[in-house]
Amino acid sequence: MENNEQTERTLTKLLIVDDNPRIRNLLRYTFSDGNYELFEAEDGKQALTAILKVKPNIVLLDVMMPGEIDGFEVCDFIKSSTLINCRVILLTAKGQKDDFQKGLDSGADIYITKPFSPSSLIEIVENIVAKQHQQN
Amino acid sequence: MKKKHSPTHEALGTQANYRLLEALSESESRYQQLISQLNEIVFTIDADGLFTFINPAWQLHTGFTPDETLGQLIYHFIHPEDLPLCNQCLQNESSSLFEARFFDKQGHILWFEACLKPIFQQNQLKEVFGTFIDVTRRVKATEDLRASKERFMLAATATNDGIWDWNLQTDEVYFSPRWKEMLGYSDAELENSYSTWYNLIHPDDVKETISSLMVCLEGDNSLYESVHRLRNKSGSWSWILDRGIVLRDANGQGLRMAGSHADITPLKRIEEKLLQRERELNSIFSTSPDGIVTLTPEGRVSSVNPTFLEMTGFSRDELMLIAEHDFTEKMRSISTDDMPYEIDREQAFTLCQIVPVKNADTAKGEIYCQENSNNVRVLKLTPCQLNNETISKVIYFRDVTIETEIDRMKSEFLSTAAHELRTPMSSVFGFTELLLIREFDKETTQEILQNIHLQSASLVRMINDLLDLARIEARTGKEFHFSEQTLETIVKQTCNEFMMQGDSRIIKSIYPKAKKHLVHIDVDQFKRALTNIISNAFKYSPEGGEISIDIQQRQQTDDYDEVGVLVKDQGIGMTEEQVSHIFERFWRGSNTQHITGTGLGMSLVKEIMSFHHGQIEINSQLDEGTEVRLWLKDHSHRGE
Repeated sequence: MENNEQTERTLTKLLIVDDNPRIRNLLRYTFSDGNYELFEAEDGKQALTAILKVKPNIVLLDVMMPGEIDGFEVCDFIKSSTLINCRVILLTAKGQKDDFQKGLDSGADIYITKPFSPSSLIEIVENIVAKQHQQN
Repeated sequence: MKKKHSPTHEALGTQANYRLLEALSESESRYQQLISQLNEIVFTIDADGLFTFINPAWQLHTGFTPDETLGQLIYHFIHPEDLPLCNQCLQNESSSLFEARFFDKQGHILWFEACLKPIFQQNQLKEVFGTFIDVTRRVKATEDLRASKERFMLAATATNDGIWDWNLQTDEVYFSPRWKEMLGYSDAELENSYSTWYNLIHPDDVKETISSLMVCLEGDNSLYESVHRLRNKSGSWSWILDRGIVLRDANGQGLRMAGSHADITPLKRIEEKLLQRERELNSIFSTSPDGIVTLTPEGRVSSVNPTFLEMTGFSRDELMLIAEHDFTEKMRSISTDDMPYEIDREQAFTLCQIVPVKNADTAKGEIYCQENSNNVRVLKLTPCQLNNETISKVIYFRDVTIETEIDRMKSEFLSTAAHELRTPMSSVFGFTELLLIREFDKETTQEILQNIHLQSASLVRMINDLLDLARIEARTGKEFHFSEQTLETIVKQTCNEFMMQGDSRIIKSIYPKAKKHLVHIDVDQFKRALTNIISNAFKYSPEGGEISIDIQQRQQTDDYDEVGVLVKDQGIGMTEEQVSHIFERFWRGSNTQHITGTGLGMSLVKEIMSFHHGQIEINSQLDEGTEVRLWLKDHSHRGE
């Protein structure tokens, strides 16, 4: 019982936002080591709902998605809200210089272009988690 | 005459003497009166040359009083240069007539015509009677005339002009030797007559030349000027600048006409060359595909060509002679760029085309440019500084709208292509890495490998499609082999060759088998286009439904019919908005995420059909299905 509570407390809430099911699939496998509680969203609108409901620690966010809200806007929303304390990793197939700038402008913590290395992504996420723990 | 009426009776003899004396004195007084009234100067001088008598006319002409004159030597009044002549005449025994210069009291020269009559007594000169007539005015006029004649001759010789002089009363014409020489003739070779000149005039110039001569002769304006051609001795034409004036009598009747005659053939040739050059430059200027604006050294617009006016919608009147600053302002007013138009910088800038804009919002630059690129022009400006007296700057405006659009499309395509390649690549790269760093159970490993394989296949398809598109677009033509084919046969073959993995549906052919339509196609390419359409019908009707193929006919023009292949499915269909994007590269409908595809298939079909000069017709209803028709020109008419 005590062990269980301990485990639950240390689970990091990770929200995966991507319209492509294969990418979501890949990310799911990447973070399938049991340290994470995974949530998924297929577009910006679903992402916003999930963020408010789940209050994730980290969001893995795609930029180009169908629908009215793109990744930049989701990121903007997270960073401008004082209620949400959450790191944003932008994962995007847009690799041009001004896209990168746009990502930084929207307040993303980290900007990663596809294709990406799952092990590097794990490392990045673990670093963030470690920092969050230190702050707590 | 009181004396005449008071005779004395006492001395008749004396009276007679008196009468005689009276008569004499009366006669003398009349002479004296006469002499004093004369305009001519009457005088006497003694043997030594001293004035002994002078009439009042002397003072009238010279200003010297009798007191200042009588007893003075005549030589004092004579111009030193004329003294010898005068002296000589005084020595003459007979009377003499000569002209000599005298001085008046102010020292001015007077010309006197002198008539001297020496009186001798016992061979001794006693005195001299004489008269002077003041001819100053006449001498001066003669002198002026001579001087002006000399000046005229001098001027004519200096400018190498020929001279003519036409006596209007006798109709005689004098042509100077130079006049004739100019036309290659010697003095004797041309007769001095009006007809000589008239006959040499170029037939095309006669009318105008004679009419301007007549205007001058008959009109008040006595200046005549004409440029015409005269035939010279060698038979060619010399351009002559002919000028003259009419001299008239008091009644305005023309007496003579005289003038000069200059050969301006070399000038005329230069003028013609200049005109020709100007015409050439003008046509280049006005037909240039680039807009051109020139500025004067004072910085004012001096010319604009029609292309520039067409590009900008300005009128020539509103631009001509405006200052550079105002010109810049005008250009800024039609520019839609954030970066303001600058005249001295090579740059591209965007203009709203001057077509009436329906929606006011769209007139705002950038959005306008992106959303409706047809209504915007991009001009590239190249200023060119000159060191010239008339033009200090030429500004060229090249319409680079199409190039800019192509550039934009190219970079958009590249960025989209990169994006589309990155997504399947993420699966391949990511999953292989996961397999390398982690242990998975057999089932999961199998699933992951399946995923990698599918995504690699998708990458291969995409690369193939891209290469095909590039090849078809380049249209080298070498890879296409057109031939006359029966459409029914081709459709049948395509359907037979088609196989959809995991789909057992059969394509229902509903066209009459007996009919044969001839089309001109590249068999492989057309089959490929048709296969893409059939494949889409299967892919986008995952829930099943009938897939049918038909061959239809329609009249396109009076000249020929079109025959079309119709592929119809009962699948997911598309909205009108989705249909409008269907030919965009990499575009895929939002409801197709679970269906594999590159987003390039319809672009390929479009390229293939355009190469066949055919058309694609798409009718689709969301959730009901799609109909695609590929139309080709029907060649079977000729065969029938």
